[in-house]
Amino acid sequence: METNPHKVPQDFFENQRREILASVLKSDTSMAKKPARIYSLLRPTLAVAASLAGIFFLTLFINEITPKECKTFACLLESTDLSDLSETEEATLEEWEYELYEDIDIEQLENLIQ
Amino acid sequence: MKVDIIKCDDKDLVSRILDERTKERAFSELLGYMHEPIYFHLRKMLGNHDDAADATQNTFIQFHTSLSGFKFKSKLATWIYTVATRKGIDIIRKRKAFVSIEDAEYQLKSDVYFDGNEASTKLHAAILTLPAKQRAVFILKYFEDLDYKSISEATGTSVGALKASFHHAKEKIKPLLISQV
Repeated sequence: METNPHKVPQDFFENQRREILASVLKSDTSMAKKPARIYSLLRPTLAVAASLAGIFFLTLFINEITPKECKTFACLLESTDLSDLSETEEATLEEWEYELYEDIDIEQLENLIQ
Repeated sequence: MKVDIIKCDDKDLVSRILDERTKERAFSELLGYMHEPIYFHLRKMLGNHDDAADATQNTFIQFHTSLSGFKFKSKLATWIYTVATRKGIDIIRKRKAFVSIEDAEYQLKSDVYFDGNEASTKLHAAILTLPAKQRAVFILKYFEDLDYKSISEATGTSVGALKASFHHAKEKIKPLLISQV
């Protein structure tokens, strides 16, 4: 076998050995100090966030499709869309308006004011 | 056989490296066995000190990173040669190849860290003209004296292809050496 023709700078192997060891030991230390890997924490966090978001949007959707329980007449008026009324209800509504005006006796009203 | 250069049990050495209490001493022991062989292997592959030094450092760092996954299907030394050889092949492939043996010879003669005689310079220059994998195969067989099974693992090539590769490398180098006489 030939004599090795490749030479190295003085103290090369000792210096590099130190560098390699330092790098290896440092990487171990930094891995030990690291908290649980972000990915392993991220998954349950994302799962919880996704569940909450799902519940939120589901709630919105449910509220949209279910009628509100109104406590005031104003709320009832607002929440009732005329298009939701049946034909009978629409017809009754017109009659009610006429009835309303029929009930009012203008002479009686004037007397009341005076 | 070069794969026997680690003079202790592989499993024992690995378990000591993986144990925080004994890691530093065990890794120093490993470097004692493997540092120089790996460096000179890469030096022959890459042709200059700086590239070989970088590749050597990266080899041992990568080895350490992946050590917990080592399954002892091969000798530990073979595995380290594998990591080093693949690093060397990657570096060679990224570089511009030597066009001629004259260019390679010129580089070696200009290198302050190369101190070979005429024959040695010609041989190493001829090796530097080989393509990456062929170069790795030739060096592992001719200089490191690894068996074909170990070389197969180091280069990711079948034994049959290796034998052909080594034969082609020899056939390519021989006339270059003769023509320089």
